[in-house]
Amino acid sequence: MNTSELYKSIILDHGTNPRNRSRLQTFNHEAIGFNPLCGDKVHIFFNLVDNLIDQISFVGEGCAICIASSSVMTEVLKNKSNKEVIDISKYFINVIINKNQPFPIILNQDDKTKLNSFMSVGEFPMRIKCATLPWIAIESELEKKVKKLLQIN
Amino acid sequence: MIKNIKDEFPIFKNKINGKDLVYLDSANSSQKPQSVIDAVSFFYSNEFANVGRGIYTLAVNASEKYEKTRSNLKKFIGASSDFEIIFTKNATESLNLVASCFGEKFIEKNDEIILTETEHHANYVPWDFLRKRKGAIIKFLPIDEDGNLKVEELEKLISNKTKIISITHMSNVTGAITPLEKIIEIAKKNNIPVCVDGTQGAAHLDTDIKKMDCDFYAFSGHKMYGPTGVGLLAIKYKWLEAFDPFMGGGGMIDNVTKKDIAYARGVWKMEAGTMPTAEVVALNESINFINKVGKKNIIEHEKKLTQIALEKLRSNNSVRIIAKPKNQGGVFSFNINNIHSHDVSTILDQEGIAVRGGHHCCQVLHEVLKINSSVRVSFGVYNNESDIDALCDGIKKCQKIFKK
Repeated sequence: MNTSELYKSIILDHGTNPRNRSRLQTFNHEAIGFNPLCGDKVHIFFNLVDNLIDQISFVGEGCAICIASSSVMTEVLKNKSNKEVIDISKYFINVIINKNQPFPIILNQDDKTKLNSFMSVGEFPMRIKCATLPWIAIESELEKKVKKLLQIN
Repeated sequence: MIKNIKDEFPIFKNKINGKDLVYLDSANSSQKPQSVIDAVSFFYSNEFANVGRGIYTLAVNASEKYEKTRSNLKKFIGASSDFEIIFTKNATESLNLVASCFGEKFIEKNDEIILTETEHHANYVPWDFLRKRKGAIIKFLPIDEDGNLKVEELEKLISNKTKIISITHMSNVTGAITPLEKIIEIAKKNNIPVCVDGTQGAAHLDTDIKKMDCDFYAFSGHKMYGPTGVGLLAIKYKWLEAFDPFMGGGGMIDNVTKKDIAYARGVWKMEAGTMPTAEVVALNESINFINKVGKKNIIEHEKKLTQIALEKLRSNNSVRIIAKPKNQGGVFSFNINNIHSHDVSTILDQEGIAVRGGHHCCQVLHEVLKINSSVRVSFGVYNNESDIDALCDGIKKCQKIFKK
């Protein structure tokens, strides 16, 4: 696998011109992903209304893969429900780590294309964490919320 | 002599991603010459026994070889008779030993430790333990915008609470060589012991610790063309006597009863358990290797390569070298505009070029320089000008990919 396959146009596009890279004015959830090994850091802001993400953004410092992944994530997760977020996260992580057996999920073609463009990252083991960082952050934030709800009930 | 030296390192016979290996990460760890590799294999094949224990022939001979490395190391770093050398696992353990043993006996609440803004985490974290455990205070000698230590500010930092100064011999990020003579002179005037992190110095700089007159000099074998698993600590005998053992176990005791334990004396007190025997023995070959090439030649060679590389990189307007130290060894770091160091590192890797991206275990330094990360180039004896050309071509490739 050569580097031009890794730096596909979608990754390069989102990595160098990230979407939704700002701090939301109003948000009720945030998640931080930090990789102490390389210093990559993403801070995700999102607004959950009736278990649906109606706004999502991020700020952060990192490599093109990490920034592209965060940017794509904010686009894909907008208007998705709590459960969908966790499923899509699992799908995305599977795409990279276990690309032959993607996590079963119904996705629109546009989202699918964006997420699948990260498939080649799996060929570069040292870079997998760059791509999964924002996803793991948001997933664990939501799982925390689910746990909290379970405790209350 | 240096011209054909690459041939002595078998790793360069391999292809990396189909390309010749361009190894620019010697500050991280150096590659090993055949003589060192053979020494490990020969020792295990013909001479192996644990040291300092058995009284049979193999054990006695192994112990002799182990001690021969110790005495050759003393000569190698110019240690006078008031110094001893302790074998550890790595330079990190050597620094932990100093911080832990010194801290235990001589650091009280509000005592001060002086480090610098350029320290590797290995020379910061062990002192942070004392900050947390003992309530010690850590002060940092700052750097200027070019990456030079502001030595003139050292006296201001020193107070009657300052108990120790611990500084690097050379920054592993900027390549800035510490003006140790000046710093140690000021420290001695104030009766403060000095610990030097010589990890980057031992194989690449003039290392005469007698002249330097530090109290501790920590370094590692794997960065001086030797095996992994061996760290070294040159320690003034008076400190070795004053310190309690760092770790407990076999080999470091004198007499053990149910009631009490008496510890061994001298270096043995600090070498608990089975040591990296074959590695220590083989380290002798890496000393021979460096002596054969000549330390002076190595220093000259690496400094020259650095200057050539810097000149070539400066002609590329998109490359920013992160520091401009007055006195620089064979290390420098840079960034390419709008391309993260890890992307650079991955793309260069596909060209067979090994560089390190990230903060290189120096988060404080990167924070001071207001950068998130950098790409580091560090030279060893085996590098040559064609490696620099490969690097320049690789950088152009990064720019091409990101221009799409």
